[in-house]
Amino acid sequence: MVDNPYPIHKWRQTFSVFSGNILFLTIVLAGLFIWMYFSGANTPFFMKNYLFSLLFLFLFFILPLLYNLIYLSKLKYTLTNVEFILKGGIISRFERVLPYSKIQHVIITRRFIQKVMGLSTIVIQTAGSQTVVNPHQSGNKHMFSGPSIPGLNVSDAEKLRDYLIAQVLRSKSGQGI
Amino acid sequence: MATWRETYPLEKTKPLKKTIESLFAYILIFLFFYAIVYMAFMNSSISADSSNLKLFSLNSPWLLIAIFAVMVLKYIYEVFYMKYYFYDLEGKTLAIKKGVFSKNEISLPVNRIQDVYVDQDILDRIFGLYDVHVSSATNDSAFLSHIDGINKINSEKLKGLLLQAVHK
Repeated sequence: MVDNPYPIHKWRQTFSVFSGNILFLTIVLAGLFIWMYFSGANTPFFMKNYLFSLLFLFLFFILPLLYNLIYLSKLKYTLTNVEFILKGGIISRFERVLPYSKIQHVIITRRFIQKVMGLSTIVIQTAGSQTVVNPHQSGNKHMFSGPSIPGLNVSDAEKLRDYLIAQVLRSKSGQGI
Repeated sequence: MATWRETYPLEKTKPLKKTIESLFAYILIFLFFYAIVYMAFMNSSISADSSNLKLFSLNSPWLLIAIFAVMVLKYIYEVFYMKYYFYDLEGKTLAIKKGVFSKNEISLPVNRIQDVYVDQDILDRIFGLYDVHVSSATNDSAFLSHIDGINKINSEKLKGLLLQAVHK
């Protein structure tokens, strides 16, 4: 009964989720400055009106980033003798209990930026898998249903996977052909 | 002990099949956008034959060169995809790993396998390739746990081995 036997690297994971946004913002701003420099255009409105641009940045960039960070720091998983428990949520809370005997399979997925940073997301699927949490926070919004733990080290994720699979094979249930 | 990936390898023609498959998709997408552009300029003062648009006309050599370049890149990508494609039965767990830039690994305990099926699509029939699908009781397993592009003998052997592992 240990909470988070393998640590979730929330800062690196948050960066990996938002790296696309950071890249996009950088390219747009750099393009804008280059264009302004060569064309001698007037200062655009959002640079005159700092309040507006700061509000925009806060609403669409800083706030989601903070939300993701807090979400990851609240995420707790526990391995007991018979079940896997995942707890989390900031405003609405959830607690999901998966008995080892009902786990169907375990997926380890790495996006390119996660691979560069040495991170993995582990997805544990049961036959009734549905997204419990907003999957945007888990860092793999387009791929899988089922509870996921993002931001684990590659070796940690593999150890956790091996442990879970061993538990699944040990538990006898009448499923499958 | 040799892994399944080495004992029952993927066919060399798999990248070619994937490339041709994507060629059809690219041609459809191109024709769609070509139709849109053509309709947009149909009634305007700029005629579709003007020199600005010559580059994009259907009989332009650059179009063929661009498609060929994309195909070559796609083929190289598929060769690497095949290189990183891995599958093996490790004890009582079927492990399938794939992906060049992003990686996906699925671990499927054999006592969770619901069914095994082998299928071919039309290009698979031309190239003599077979796909072995292994499904558990989840939706996502169909997406990840399949072994694509092996020949008939190997597909039957894999099917037999999987069923044997399930019944053991």
